[in-house]
Amino acid sequence: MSNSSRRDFFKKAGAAGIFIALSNVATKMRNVSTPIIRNIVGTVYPKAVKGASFGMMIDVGACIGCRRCLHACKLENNVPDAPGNMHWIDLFEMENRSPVTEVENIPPVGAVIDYTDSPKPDHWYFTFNCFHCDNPPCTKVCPTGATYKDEDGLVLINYDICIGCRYCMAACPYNARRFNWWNPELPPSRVNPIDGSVEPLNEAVPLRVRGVNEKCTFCVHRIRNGNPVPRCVEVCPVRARHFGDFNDPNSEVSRLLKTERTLRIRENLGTSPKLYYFTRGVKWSKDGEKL
Amino acid sequence: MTDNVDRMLRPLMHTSREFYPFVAILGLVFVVSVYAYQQQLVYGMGVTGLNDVTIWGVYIANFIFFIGISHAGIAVSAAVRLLNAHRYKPIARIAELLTIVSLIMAGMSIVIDLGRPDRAMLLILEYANRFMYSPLVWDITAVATYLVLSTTYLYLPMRRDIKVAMERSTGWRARLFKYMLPLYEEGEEATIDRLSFWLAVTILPVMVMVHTTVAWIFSLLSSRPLWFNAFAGPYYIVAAVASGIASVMVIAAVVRKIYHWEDIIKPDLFRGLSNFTAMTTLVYLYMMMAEQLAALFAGPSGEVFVSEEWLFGSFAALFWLMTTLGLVIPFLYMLVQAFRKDYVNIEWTAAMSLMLVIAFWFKRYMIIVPTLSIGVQQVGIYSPTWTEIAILLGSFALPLLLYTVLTKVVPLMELEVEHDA
Repeated sequence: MSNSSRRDFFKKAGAAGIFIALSNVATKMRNVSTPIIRNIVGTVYPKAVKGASFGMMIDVGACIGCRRCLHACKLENNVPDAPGNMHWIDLFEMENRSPVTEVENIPPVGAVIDYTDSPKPDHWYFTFNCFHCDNPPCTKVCPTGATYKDEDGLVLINYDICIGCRYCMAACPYNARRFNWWNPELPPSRVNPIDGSVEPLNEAVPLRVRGVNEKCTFCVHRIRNGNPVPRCVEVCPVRARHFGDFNDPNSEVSRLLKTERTLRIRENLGTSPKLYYFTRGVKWSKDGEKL
Repeated sequence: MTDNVDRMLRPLMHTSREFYPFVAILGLVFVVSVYAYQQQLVYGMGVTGLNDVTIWGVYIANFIFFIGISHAGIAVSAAVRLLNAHRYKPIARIAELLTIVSLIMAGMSIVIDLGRPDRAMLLILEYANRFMYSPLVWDITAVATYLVLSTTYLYLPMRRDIKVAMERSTGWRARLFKYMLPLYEEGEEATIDRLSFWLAVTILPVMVMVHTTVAWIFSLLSSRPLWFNAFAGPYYIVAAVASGIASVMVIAAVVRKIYHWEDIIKPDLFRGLSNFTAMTTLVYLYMMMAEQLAALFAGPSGEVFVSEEWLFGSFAALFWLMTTLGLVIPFLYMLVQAFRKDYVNIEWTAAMSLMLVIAFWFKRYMIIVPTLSIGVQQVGIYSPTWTEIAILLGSFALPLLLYTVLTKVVPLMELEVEHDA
């Protein structure tokens, strides 16, 4: 290569470098929470309610471990049964005095536990779904921005740009995330094993594909379209679940937060989850009957 | 003199009869692994033994392993250039090739682990938005930088050797070498020497950065016992250097034997590498002990659970085999050898190095799986399926295959060695 053509080459390379740097600055000047791609393709959710901060409070004393929330959630959100029996809500039967961080004698993933005889005496029920943290570790680590915290505090997943690296699952301290290990199989209508009702697929909820991540959305399709509560709150027979906007001082959860003694789990990790636990005392007798 | 150059270029000019069956076997293993990967693409990640608690398994262990191996090459050859350690020059290029091959494998391991490899391009399209946040993106940055720099670093000093090879060959080989030598100018060697020096200066910090960012992928997750660790960077780097240098020793011993380079790759050189490996292995054992002590003595429930799984639980057999056979015994062998004057047994040193390399693969497996076997109120039970094992075997066959084929295209020995001798 002669000297002049080499100089020419360096000029071109320099110009290309400056162009790349400028385009980086340009993308940075946009709102970082809206990646470029989401404007082109992407799961479309209803528009976020600005200034809201949705959260949930669970009355562990009232919960009878019936699993109505779990199954209603599956039907509402098109969560597949087969293969793998995915569910967005987890429900564990705890012995009295067993701490939340107890790791011994606990069932492996996929173990079938019979809750039909619940509530059992001297047991309590620990239930959770995605905590929709205010400082979510999962959204920070996502390499494509597929999972993000929206303006109303919901942590959502754009199923169309998730690459399935599962880094968010590694980051989540609560095991609230689910992965589509197989092709999700969804028949046109399904039976709820709790009450025998038959429900068709919910058209308001986008279907997921194999290889992407999913989790509880606080029924974003309901709460952003005027319906006040997610499906799990609606079906709870003992009103153990409460839902609302923490930024609205008149909402039920704001009042509960003021009057009840509450607890959030693994708060020391700085995630500030928006799922609170409280209890007003056990709501069923020692023999497992409702009081 | 010319005789020596011919010997050094012999792998390029002649192909022995054993070469073809060796390549065929490796190719066969690779084809089986491609079939396994096709199954994974068609049916989904469910064909692996992973589940919603144990979300990562052998692929990610493989990723850390290959990143670790990739360290050795440039470490050796940059040391040659910067510290004027001329006696290591005969293995510099052997090591650099290993770096590039294993970096390619590390990148592939990540893609194999993706649930949607068809969308892997999003990693680049979304880069500008995500590189301030995601440690995975930092790592992709570091690995890509390292790959580009080390490929350049391999290629530039190689040009003069390709030139010699071109002059000495005829027919299709001469044409191939001509294609590998675009824009050749008389007297470019001086420029290349200066470039290579500065490249070596640049590469050394990048090398540290690569393995530190790999460690950060795991160590910045505050909820994961034994991952969340401020000193994960140095911990991983020591493992990388030990496993990398050990694998260089294995390959150098094999190459020395096959091409009869006994007088070029001198025993003295193995002695130096093995002393260095013994030292880093000792540092690594010390760090492992410190880690376990912190977990068991302080006793947060997650750390205790994982540590007991390591030491006494379901991973105990693997852990103790790995530590004694794979780390302590090679360390002791190399230590004893270091104290004997002017003695080195290359076969045994290579065998011990191989054990060390295997142990470091299992160590990476131990990093990933026990920590991920604990969730909130759940225990994940993971064992690799045949698909994963087939892909794993393929991921060892492919770098060997690439390496073997590259020895036929790339001059494996810097011809300057000949002038030094």
